[in-house]
Amino acid sequence: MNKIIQHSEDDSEGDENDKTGEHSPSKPAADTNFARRIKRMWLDVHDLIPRTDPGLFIPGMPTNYEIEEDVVMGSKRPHPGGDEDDTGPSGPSKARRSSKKQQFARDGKNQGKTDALEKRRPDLVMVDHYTQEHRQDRCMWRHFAVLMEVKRDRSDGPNPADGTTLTRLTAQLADMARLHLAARPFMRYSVHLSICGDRFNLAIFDRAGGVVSKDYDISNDLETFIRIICRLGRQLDAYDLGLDRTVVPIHALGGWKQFPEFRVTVGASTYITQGLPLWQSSSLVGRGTFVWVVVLEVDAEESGKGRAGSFILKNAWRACGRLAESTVYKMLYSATEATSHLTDLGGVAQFVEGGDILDPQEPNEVIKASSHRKGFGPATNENDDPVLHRVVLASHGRKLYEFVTFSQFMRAAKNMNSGTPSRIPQHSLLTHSRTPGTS
Amino acid sequence: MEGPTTPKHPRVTSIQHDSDLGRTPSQPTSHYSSSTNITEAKANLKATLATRVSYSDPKIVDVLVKPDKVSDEFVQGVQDSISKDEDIMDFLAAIRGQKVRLERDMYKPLVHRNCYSIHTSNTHTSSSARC
Repeated sequence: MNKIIQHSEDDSEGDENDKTGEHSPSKPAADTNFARRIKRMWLDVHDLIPRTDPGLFIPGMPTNYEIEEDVVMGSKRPHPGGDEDDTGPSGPSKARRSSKKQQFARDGKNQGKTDALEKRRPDLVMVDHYTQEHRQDRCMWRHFAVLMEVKRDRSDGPNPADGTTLTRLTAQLADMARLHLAARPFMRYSVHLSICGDRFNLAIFDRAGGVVSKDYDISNDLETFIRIICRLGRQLDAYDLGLDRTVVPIHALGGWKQFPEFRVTVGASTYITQGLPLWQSSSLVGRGTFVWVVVLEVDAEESGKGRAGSFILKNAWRACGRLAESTVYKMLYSATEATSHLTDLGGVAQFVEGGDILDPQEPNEVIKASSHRKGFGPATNENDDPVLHRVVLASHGRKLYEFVTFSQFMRAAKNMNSGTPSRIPQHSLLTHSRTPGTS
Repeated sequence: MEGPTTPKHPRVTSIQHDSDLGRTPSQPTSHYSSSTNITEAKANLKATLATRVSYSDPKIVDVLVKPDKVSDEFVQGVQDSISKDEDIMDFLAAIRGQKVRLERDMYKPLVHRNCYSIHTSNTHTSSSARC
């Protein structure tokens, strides 16, 4: 393993690719696609708590960074999201937690094992490495390209003996995958390696569930192991490792100073995300919603014509059996008052554009969860195959503390109430689909 | 002059949820609420994953990673260097025999490693299993 780590560091191919990243992180390069840069390294993070950017809170993610200095050898540090948090608030906590049960979590015995979902950090990670910035002595979830979990015994592997029961390790990998997908935007799936004794597996988790490989023997399949490590570290770009191929990061994915901004295509327009997402889902299976403030990207001729306003972008995986949100907006704004029974659309967000996203690799096909599963995994259930969907809105929400007068607040409440199911039952989707930034 | 006659209301010490009152919620739990409730997230994850994970897939590595694209010369070179490294060979033998010691049983300086020393020093060891 050590050899492979160092080889990755001396990777001449990575250095060549690094030449594309000469731009300052504060000045995004219009022609640079940082997803194509392949410069990665392995990090041992089993006794560290990976972080998120300041201002980005992901529910369930350990945030008690202060105890990092006091490492207990041989045990993962308990984190605030553990069993003692089950009855308490899930927000950040500065209080140090200790649990006898957790201290013996890694001794290899069944007695005293903690819930697998409490260990929300991997053992080893392959991170995107940005050589233009000084490396800091901490690690961040959004830098992770591949996550690895190591167990001592082969019996702890992800594949169950009966072929169906959810194993402890699979649940643990899935829990880390949901945090990974929440912290690293626009990911279609999260890639994981597990090494349990002399067995290793590769697994992916996406918005439809997960797929775990068959067991490989690290002795008999050492050649395969070498090939996998080489491919993950040196040859597969960010798109191959799960990033949505319809977005282009315009900052380094492994950068420290700048949360990467992305160029996102919706219909015929291109938008640039601004800073941190306004909101992100932290669940694994489901819509995986991200909400961003974006600006319309305009060329030199269009600039200065007042088109560079900011918008709200909602990126989510919609259930294929449900009506698309963009369709609902179009129906609302195209219907007459007599047919819609809506007297006032003041409380409804102003729809700009949106729809299902076309797959650049498969013309005329939309991106679904099954799109990246072609060739492996179980047969696709057409009724349970989430579709990638984007909506751009011109209405920005306001935070409660931004209201200056009570009358302003009451007008907002009145507008929100105008979309309740009791008044417009045929459009009840509106209420349940309302998102931050649209109220 | 007498004060207001309106009787004082009992102080509200906590917000009553539907579950506290033993009643069924009138609307589905919001997405935000479900994603911020850790207990619920745990239960949901286990419940939803149980039927959504496919195991022992024989093709995912070949399709997703395409290991055959790595040149045979490179693989042979790595295998040769592994076979010449006694530490790695001992470690592989220990794995096969399930004799890998626990990290806490090892001599601490051998296993204590700052992850950021990987590319700056040789103080770490590759033959420690972290379970």
